[in-house]
Amino acid sequence: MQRLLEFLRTHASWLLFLLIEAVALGLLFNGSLYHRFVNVTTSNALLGRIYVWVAEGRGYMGLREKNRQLVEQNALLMRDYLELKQQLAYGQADTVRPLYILPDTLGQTPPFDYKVAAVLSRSIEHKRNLLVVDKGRLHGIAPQMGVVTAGGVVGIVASVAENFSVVVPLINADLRLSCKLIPKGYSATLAWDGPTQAGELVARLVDLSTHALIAEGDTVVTSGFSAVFPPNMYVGRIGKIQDQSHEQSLRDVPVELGVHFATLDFVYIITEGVPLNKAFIDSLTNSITAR
Amino acid sequence: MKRYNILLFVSVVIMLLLQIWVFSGMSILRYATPMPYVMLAMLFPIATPKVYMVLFGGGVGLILDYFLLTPGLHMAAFTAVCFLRGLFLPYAFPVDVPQESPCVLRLGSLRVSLFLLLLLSIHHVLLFALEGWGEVDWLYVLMRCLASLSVSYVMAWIALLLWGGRAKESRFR
Repeated sequence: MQRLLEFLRTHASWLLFLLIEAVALGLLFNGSLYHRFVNVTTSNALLGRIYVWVAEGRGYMGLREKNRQLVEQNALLMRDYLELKQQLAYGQADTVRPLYILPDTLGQTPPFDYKVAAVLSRSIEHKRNLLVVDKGRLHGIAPQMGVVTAGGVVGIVASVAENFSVVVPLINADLRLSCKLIPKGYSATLAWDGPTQAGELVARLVDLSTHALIAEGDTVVTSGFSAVFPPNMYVGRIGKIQDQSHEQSLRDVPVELGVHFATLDFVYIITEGVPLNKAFIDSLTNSITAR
Repeated sequence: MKRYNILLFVSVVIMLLLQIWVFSGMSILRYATPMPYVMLAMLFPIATPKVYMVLFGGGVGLILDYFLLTPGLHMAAFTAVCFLRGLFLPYAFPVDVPQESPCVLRLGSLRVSLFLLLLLSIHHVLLFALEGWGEVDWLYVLMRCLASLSVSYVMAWIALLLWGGRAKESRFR
C-alpha cells in the first residue's frame, strides 16, 4: 500500500495528464457524449446570456446588409401579395369561389408558420458544424423542425433547451437532405463532406439516378419527402461540373448552397405547415412494419 | 508576488475572452485561425509543479471547448502543451535562473521565441491532427496548421511583449 501511494505521488503528473487526455479524447470521439455536451452548453443560462450580448453586437455591426436583405425579401413578398390579390379579384368578379381559398377539410395541412430566431453561435470550418439559436422549448421549438432563411434551407433542429436550440446545418457531415432538381424533377440526396481545399462551402448530390440529365445552374429544392421541410424550398444550385464521363459526373455533383453560413445572423424555424405530419408518417411506417 | 498573481489571473481571463470571441471567429484567407492563448503556459513561474500545470491546461482547454462547441479538442491539445512545458523547460534555460520567476521574463528574447515556437508547434500539430481525424485531404489540414501557427506566433509575441511590460510594472523583479 505504501509503495502504491509512493508510486502515485511520484507519478502524479503523468497519471493526471493521461487521465485528462483520456477524458478529452473520449469527449472528442464519443458521439453521444458530444451531443450531451452540446445540450448542456445550450441550456446554460450564463452562457446563453453572453451569447445574446455577442449576437446583439454582431447584429448591430451588420445592420446595413440585413436591411438590404429585408428590403429584397419585402419586395418579393409584395410581388406575391399583389399577384394573389389580383387572382382574388378575378375570382370574386366571376362570383365563383376559387378552390385555392377553400379550407382543407381534412385538416392535415396546417397553415404555414415559423418563428424568427437569432443565431448566437456558429461554426463553418469544421466537418461537423453546428448553430445555436436563441429560441427554444418555451417558444414552441421542437427537435426535427426545419430551419430556413431568405437564402434557402439552413438545417434541422437537433436538440432544444428552454431558451436555446442547436441546429444541425447543411454543412454538417451527419445531415443528409432529400432533394429534387428543377426543372427535370430528378430526386437526389444532398450531402456534405467538409469545406473544400479552398475553404468553399460546397455540398454535393448523391444517389442521383444514372440516367439523370443535369446541367450547371439547375436549381436544387427540397423534395417534400420528409416531415421536416415543405416541398420546393430553395437549397442551392448545381455548380461547375468537372469534365469527366456522364456516369462519373453523377457521382459527385457540386451544389452551391443558397445560404451564406459565414454571415448567417437570423433564421426562420418552421413550426407549422409541413404537409407530411411526422406523427402520421411514424404511425403509417409502424403499421406497415407490423404487417 | 500577490500583485503578480492578480496580473496572471487577469491575463488568463482576458486572453480566454479574446480567444473565444475574437480569434476563434477569425479565418484569415480561409486557412489561418489564430490561437495565441498557448502563450499563457509561459507566464507561470519556472518552478510551478507539473501537476498544477496539467490541471491548468485541462481547465483552460475545457473552458475553450465549452464555449467553442469543440468538446475535447482544445482540452487534449493544451493539456499536452502544459505537461510537455515542464519536461522541456530544463533544456530551455540556464540553471542559474531563479526558479520562482516566470520563464518569459528570465529567458531572453531568443530563448523565449524558440520556446514559444516549440509550444505553439506542439499545440497546433495536435489540435489540427485531432480535428482533421478521418479527413482525406491532409494537405489542406497541413496548410491550415502552418498558416494558423504563423499567425498565432506573431500574435502570441505581441501579447507577450504587452504582458512583459505590465509584469515589470507589477514590481515582480
